[in-house]
This record gives sequence, C-alpha cells and structure tokens, in this order.
Amino acid sequence: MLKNTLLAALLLGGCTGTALLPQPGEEGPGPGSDPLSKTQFQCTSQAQPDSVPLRRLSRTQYVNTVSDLIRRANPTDATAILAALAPALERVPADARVGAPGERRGGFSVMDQSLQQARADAAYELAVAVGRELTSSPARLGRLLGTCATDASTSNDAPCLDAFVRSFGRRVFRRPLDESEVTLLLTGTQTAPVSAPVVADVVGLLFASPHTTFFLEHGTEPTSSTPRLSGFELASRLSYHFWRTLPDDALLDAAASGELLTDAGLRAQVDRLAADARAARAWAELFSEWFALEELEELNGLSTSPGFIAFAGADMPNANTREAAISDVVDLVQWTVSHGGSFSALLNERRSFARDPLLARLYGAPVWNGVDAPPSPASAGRVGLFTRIAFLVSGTADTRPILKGARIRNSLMCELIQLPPGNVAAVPPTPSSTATTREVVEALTQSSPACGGCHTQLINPMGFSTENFDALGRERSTQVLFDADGKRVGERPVDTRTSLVIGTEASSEGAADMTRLLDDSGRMHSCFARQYFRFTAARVETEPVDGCALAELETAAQDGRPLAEILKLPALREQFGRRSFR
Amino acid sequence: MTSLSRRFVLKGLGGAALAIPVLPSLLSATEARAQAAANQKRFVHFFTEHGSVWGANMFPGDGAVADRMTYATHEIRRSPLTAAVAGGVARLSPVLSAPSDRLTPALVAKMNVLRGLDIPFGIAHYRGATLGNYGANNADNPLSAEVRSIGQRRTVDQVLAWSPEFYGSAAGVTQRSVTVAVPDPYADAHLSYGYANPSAGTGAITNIQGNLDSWTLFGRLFPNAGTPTPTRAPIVDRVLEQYRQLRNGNRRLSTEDKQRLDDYIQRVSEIQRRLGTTSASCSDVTRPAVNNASLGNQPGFATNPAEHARYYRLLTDILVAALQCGRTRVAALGLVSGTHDFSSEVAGPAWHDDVAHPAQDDATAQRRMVDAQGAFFRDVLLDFVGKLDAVSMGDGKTLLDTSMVVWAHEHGSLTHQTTSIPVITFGKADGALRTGSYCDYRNLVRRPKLYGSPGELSNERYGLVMNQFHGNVLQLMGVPRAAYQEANHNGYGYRPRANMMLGDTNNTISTASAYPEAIWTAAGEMLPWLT
Repeated sequence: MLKNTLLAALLLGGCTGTALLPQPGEEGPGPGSDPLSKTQFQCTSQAQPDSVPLRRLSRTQYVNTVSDLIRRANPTDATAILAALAPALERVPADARVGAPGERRGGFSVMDQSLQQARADAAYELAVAVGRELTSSPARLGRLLGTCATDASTSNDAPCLDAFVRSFGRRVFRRPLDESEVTLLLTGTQTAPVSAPVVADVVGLLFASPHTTFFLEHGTEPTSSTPRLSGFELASRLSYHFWRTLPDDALLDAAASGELLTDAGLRAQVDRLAADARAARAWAELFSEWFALEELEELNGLSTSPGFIAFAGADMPNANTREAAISDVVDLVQWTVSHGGSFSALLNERRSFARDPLLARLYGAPVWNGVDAPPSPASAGRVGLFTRIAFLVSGTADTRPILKGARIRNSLMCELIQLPPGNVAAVPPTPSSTATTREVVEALTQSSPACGGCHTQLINPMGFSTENFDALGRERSTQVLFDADGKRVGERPVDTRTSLVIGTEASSEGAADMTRLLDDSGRMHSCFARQYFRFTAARVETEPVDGCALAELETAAQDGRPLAEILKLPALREQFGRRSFR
Repeated sequence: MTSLSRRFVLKGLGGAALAIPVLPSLLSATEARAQAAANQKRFVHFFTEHGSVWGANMFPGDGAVADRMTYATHEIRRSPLTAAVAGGVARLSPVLSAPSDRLTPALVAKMNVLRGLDIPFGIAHYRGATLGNYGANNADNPLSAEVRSIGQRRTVDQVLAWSPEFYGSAAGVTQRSVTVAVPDPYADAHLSYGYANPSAGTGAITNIQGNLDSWTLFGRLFPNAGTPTPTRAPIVDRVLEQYRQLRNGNRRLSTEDKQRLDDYIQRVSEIQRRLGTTSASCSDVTRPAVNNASLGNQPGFATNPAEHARYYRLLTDILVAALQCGRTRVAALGLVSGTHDFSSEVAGPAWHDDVAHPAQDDATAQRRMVDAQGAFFRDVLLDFVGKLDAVSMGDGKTLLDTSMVVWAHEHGSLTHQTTSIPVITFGKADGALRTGSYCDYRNLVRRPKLYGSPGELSNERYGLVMNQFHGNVLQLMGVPRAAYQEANHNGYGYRPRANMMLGDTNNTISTASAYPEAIWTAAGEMLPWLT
C-alpha cells in the first residue's frame, strides 16, 4: 500500500520520475515494477539475442589495436613510431555516446556504430602511415620481416614476404589468413627484390582491411541461425571484452588448438584475461562513461574572475585539477577491482586516491603514491562515492544541487526523470548574497506544483545531501556568501537533512545516510548491472531475451561478489560464444 | 578591404600572423574563370548556441518599410538594409555593428537579415535542427519526442555534399563538407547528419562528428600540404577490392552485415575519388604555425573575448583558403557557449545560468549576450565574409559573391523560444540570391503563448517556417526538389503533424493553428524578396 501511495503522490506532483516503470499498455514484469523490490530483472528466457550487425571496433578499441600491433611488430622503435603516428591516431573521430531510446544522456561510446566518412578517411590514412613508419629504414624493415628482407640475397625475398604476410597477418586479422587472402594481399606486388615501399603497401592493406576494423563473425554451423563462433572469433570477443584490444599469442594459440572451445579452456582463458593488468582498461572506460566523467567542467575557467578568486582562496584550481579529479575516480575503480572489492565497496570507499597535491589538500589527505594503501581523509564527512571531488565540483563558486541530484537519479539509479516542460527551466538558480544555495533552490523549485513534483521528492534531496561540501569539494558547515563583486558579505549554516525517496521514503542526515540507503536498496547495483550489460554487449538490453544476463549481473552485484568476478560473468555465458543470423 | 596581394597573408592572430600562401594571383585568370564557369557555389553555415537576444537588439529598426505584401496567411514586410554610421561605427542593430571600414555599405549590400522564421515545435536544445534535422532536439514534450522518433532528416549541408547537381564530379575537392564543431559525446547533439550511405541515399540518419581543432581541419582540407607528390599508386583500389571480395564472397554474412559493408565500401569509394582527383592550385599551402587548441590552455582564456575570436579565426582563415582553392564548398560551423563565449565576465557553466537563461528578462544578462553575439559578428563572421569578399574570382565576382554564408542562432529572442530564429546571410549564391534586405516574415497579429515573463515575450509572433528557408538554401544552390521531396509539403524536412499541441503554457495551440496549411503550401517557394 505504501508503494502505491508513494507513486500516486509523485504522479500527482507532476513527476514521472519512475520512467523505467512499465508504461500504460506495456506488459510487465518490467524493471522496477515493484518500487519496494530489490531486484529489477528476471530470468525467463534462454533465447539467443540478436547480434549487432557487423560491429566495428570503437575508437578506443581501434587505437589500442593499432598501438599494440606496432609494439609487437617493432618493440625497439615502437615509442618513436607511435609518436610519429600520433597525428594520424588523433584524427580517428571520437565515438558518440549512444544511449537507450528516451535517454538524453548516458550510453556508451562502444555503442556508436556509425560509419562516418571521417572515420573511413582516418582509418585509411592511418593504415598508410603505419606501413610507411614500419618500413621507414632498413633497420625497421629488418625488424619487421627479419634478415631475409635485408640480406644481400634476393632469392629468399618472396618467401620472406609470404611468411611475413602469414605471420603478421595472423595478428592483424586476429586469425590465420586463408590462401585467397594471402594471394589478394600479394597480387600486383613485386615480391623480389623486396622493398620498403612494397612492404609498406602490404602493411597498409592489412591495417585497412575489413578483418581489422570490423568484428567479422561467420560462425561455425552453416545451417544454424545461432551458430557457435569459431575459436578465433571467440578469442576476439574475449580479448576486446576484457582488454579492449586484440588477442595475444596465448589466446590465439588456444583458439588454434581448439582448447578455447572447451569449457575448461574457456574458463582458463577467462581467468587469465581477467587477472591481467590490461583488464583495467575496460573498467576505466565503463565507469568513466557511466559516471560521465568527461562532462566535468574545466575547473580553472574562472581563474581570473574576482568572485571565483575570492571563493577559491589558496585552493585555486589549475589546468591539471580536472584531470586529477577524474583520475581519483578511475584509480578508485582500479583499486577496488584489483583488491577484490565489490560494487558496495566502491560505493562506500572513503579513502583518497588523489595523486595531485591540490586535490589531496581538498580531500584533507596526504598525496597518494599510487602503490601503497590509499590514505584516509582527515574528516569523517567523506563517506564514499558521492563525496568525491569529481561528484562535487561545478567549475563555478556555487554548488549545483539540482544537477547533483538529477545525476544520481538519472545516471546512477537509472531512473529517468523527465525534463522540465518548455521554458519552465528558463530561470536557473541565481546565487544569492543572503541565502544558501539550498535555500535558493528550494525557493525556486519547491514553491509550485509544476516544479515541486520532481524537485521536492526526487531531485533536490539527493543534491542537498552533499551541501556540506562547497563547489571545490571542500568540506564546510557554513556557506560563505559573496556579492557579485566577490566581496564576502555573510555566512549561513548549511543543511543536509532531507527525506529521501529510494523505493520507500526515509529521513536522511546527509551523504552518509544517502549512501547507506542507496546501498541497501540495491538500486545502484541494478543500474550498474544494466550499464555493464550495455557496455559489454554494445547494445541496449532487450527483455526478456537479456533478462537472464541482467539478472545474473544484478544478483552478483547485490550479493557483494567482487567486481573482478562480475567482469567474467558475461564471457562465461553460453550466448557469449554464439551469434545470430536473422 | 582591398584586393589581396601576391602572398595572401591572413592576419588577426594576435601578432602571430598566419601565412597561407594561397593567393588569388596564384590562380591564373583563366583558371579562376574556369572554376567560376561551372557550378561553383559555396555554402557556409554558422550556428551559435542559445540566442536570447531581444528583437530590438538583434534586428534593425522597423524604419522605412519599402515593401509590404500578403503572403501565405499574413502581411510581411521588407526594408532596405542600411547601416547608420556614427563615431566610426556602422550599425544595423546593437548586435549587427562593426567599425564602418569593415561593415561597409558594399558589404551590407551583400547581406540579408531575416526575421520571422520559426522552428514549428517546442525545442530545448538542438544543433542539427538549424540545418534541417528537426529530429536532433532534446525537448521534453510529446511533439518533440515524436519528431525525434520520426523526424530525422539529413541536414542541408549533407544534402549539398552528396548532390551531383551541386558538386558535379567534385574534381579537386578533398572534403565534400566539413563540420567544424565541438565533438559532442552524445549522438543527438550534433550539427550535421547524413545517410549511412550518403552516395546511395540509403540507411539510417547518423550524426557526423565535428571537430574544432584547426590543425585537424587543415589536414583534412590540405592533406598533402608540405609533402612531396607520391610516386607510388595509392593502395585504395586494393583496399576496396578486399571489401568487395568479402561482401561478395562465400563466407556467411547476414543481410545487415552486407548492408553495412556496402555502406563502408561507399566510404572507401569516396577516398578513391578524392585520391584520383587532382588539384593543381594551392599546392604550396603550408599549415599555420599556431593550432587553435593551444590557445585554450592559456590562463584566463575563458574570459578573454579577443582570444576567443582568434580561436575561431584560426579555423575560418583555413576555410577561406579551402573555399578559394576549391578543396571544399560546404561547411557547417557550430560554436559553443560556455567555452568560447566572447565574454570577459562570465564563462564555463556560469554562462548558461548567468547569461543564456536570464538574458530573457535581466538587463545585465541581456547586455552580456548582446556584447558576446556582437563580438562574434564583428570579429569572426565579418572577418570571414570580408576575406571572402577580398578574393577576386577573375570575372568581376568575389568569392563571397559566389557563396551563401548563413548565421543562425539556436533560439529566438528568448532562450528556448522557437519563433523568429535570427538568420543573417551574406553573399549572393552566384547571383541567385537577392541581398540588401531586412525581411520581416512575422505575422504581427498571431502571438504564441509560452512560458516566461512579460516583456520580450510580448514581442514574439508566429511567422513562416524554417522548412521554407532550408528548402530555399537548396534551391539557391541548385539542388532539385526531387532530392529532398517530402510527402506533405514542398519545403525541406519534417513537418510536425497538425493536431499535435505545441508546448505552450495552456497547451492550447496546435501546430495547425500556429502554422496553417497555407504556410506549408508556401514552403516550397522562394521566400519573398530573396530572388
């Protein structure tokens, strides 16, 4: 009864902030159909979901792949070669983050499957440049092909080039080349005497190939609509899932021997890949994009503004502060994963990962050396994720409780709150010289039914919970008030007490209570499951087909299993080793 | 500005002059005439976020109305465009002001100011809509959601980029279009959109990622600058063959897999075309010494309007050279609030809260907005069109004469307002576009009812639809209507259905009421006084 009363109240207030509820005419069970339920996903179907057609490598995957291939092709000169290729790598267009229908923010760049001209241009130019750089001197040519390419004899040149195409091509294509592919690569090529331009062309063709830039999966059972992947196709899936780059030789060898297609062989490789340091790439990308860290404002943009100078005092951000704040979160994730931490541990981790002196000072903690156990902040007010600098700073002298609250609801709890209608948002909170930010926001948003429905119950309380931190993330018990010229004109106590609606309504004293309530509710764990699924599948979930995969991730996260173990779960599912042809 | 000397030195870079040895004089008279003889029109679109410049600050005064006529549903008006000069400043409006030696009568004569062009549904933010993709909006009302779902269209820059009538063989063209805009992380917030397979005109509408880095822009437009002519044949033919063999081979692929391969093959074919085309002119262009990205790292950049202008001129100077050299003929530029906002007072996220929104009813914020938009007009747009106008095409025309340059705001005179999106044009589209007019297409008796306070809101009126202007752009550039024909009107792009309510305060105005059928019937025509 409580849940129905609560929902009715929200809807009467004009807020449809539970947009993930089934809408009229939709069939349940849908996510969050019971506001009190801790789980949002159900496992009712074992069907093979549709595959993303001819998926291309994301920008991150593509750049990692090219870079790693160069390191393998010429370890000696790799640094210099990659430096020379930096402009070409830079021209590979960024992927756009693609979310679910109805979402205006969120989603992951790996879901961007657009085939833009600029991308094709960049891929071609990069392939040509790679060929040129890998063969730019006799020494480099020798390191690439071996002495057979640089000795005085020309009689061994043709087999030398042939062997190179097969061996290096296996790495580039992530599988052995068949004869027709070798022939195509060498057609029209003068194989003896072998020359740098000839090899450059062959390298360019390898890098520009569809087998390099796309995930080509043909399957192994010609009559099945959901055939098993070949060992090499599975190896690629695994490698890009865990490492965001191409398979290493051990994985390719496991594919070649057939070991990878056995249960034991698969599990052994999954354990190896997950334990490798390269797995950190995937975690960093997942959480950076889920938490929208790239949207963090430049923190030194107002460094010449009198008002901001007065506000910041000795803690004026510099050009590195923004990146340092992002790194603090990324390091938190890496540390949690590598030390067996769960999602709840990540949520509640209060230690500082600040390697930057200013950021460490803002935390009230020593600078972390990146190796030893991270230090704890002096204040107990730092209670976890929501009190991290990256979740508090605004780039101005004023905190943004509405944005903080909306971010938690929309992004971290996966509850879509509708935007204000029309021009109702035309009057954002204006800093006051007589009232706290909370007081300004309350007066602006909670006085009318049109605004109050969402703001009073769903958005503002989440943001008010961390108002004991200022817009630089410094802890405070009072808010210092400035006039328009930056002159200090007053001081008022801040108030973090709220009533939070997280399934049920509960009173909260501030960030610690909010974190605890969110942790207990399982809402962020469910949201994590949804986001991780999208990230690793590179598509939006379809229920009920994806219900089992989602439920498995959700249960694992809510049960407190280590994040490192959760990373393995999708790869061990039967569907991971198949594709669909529909 | 006088005609350019033998070495075209683009100045205005804070002392670090950018020397691009691209000269009208390097193009022989014969060569220039040959270029002009073909369909060599150019289209450049500037988009600035928000808007929120009150009508009196953006548009010329009513002045002497030279022409009145009843059009579609209402009376419309035209005045000759004349700048008042005082104290060395030529002034069409507070925003449209500049030193009189730059905003000259000759340049004003090549300019239009258009008022009363509306986006016919509620908007929050969009970029693609300014060029005709109404589906690229993020407003939260049922009509906007519907438009997002079924209103996705190519933007007109992309229609031009792949139009055979506009580009012909595209000889010498290195980029059919360039999109100069912040690389937005979200797919619904881009400036340009095109088909997945633009040559075939098939596939989903997809965003085209922009870039604001001037060296990247230069590299795309002048890919071989400073490098010796290759002696070996490019590998593109063999790359293409790899894709074709895969596409037509025996390995199992789904229908959708093959479609994506087809789409990508078309992209590689475009590379093949580009590598096969020759461009004898401008072969000695050198990359500018300064990359605009480096400016953003300077302390205090965020509140330094002079550096903001310099930042953008590092882009537009390259574009001048590329248009002159025929490396491209289509460009879309999206300029972003919050980062390079031409304000010495407010920057970053504070711009949105302290300027963009309050500007609708706060005099200080409005003044800041006028200053910022005026600085963009004076120091970037006018600089750009002035340089185009200084390039002689050898037949009495200037590069500006062959071009159509458009500047449009995101919003009307109130932030998120859909009516009277300011549209400023420069250039004559190679004689197709009549200029020198302030055209007011508003219906002075039909008012919207929207959220907001009185004041500027009381000045808002419904007018004609932007669909008509977008269609006009294509007509002026020589694109046949068959290339963009809609089922339910003759303008460009999506027409919201008639019985949907606009997002007004009382939800009482339907699209049919705001924009009656007669307006959509007229949408296929050239706007009055533009030809």
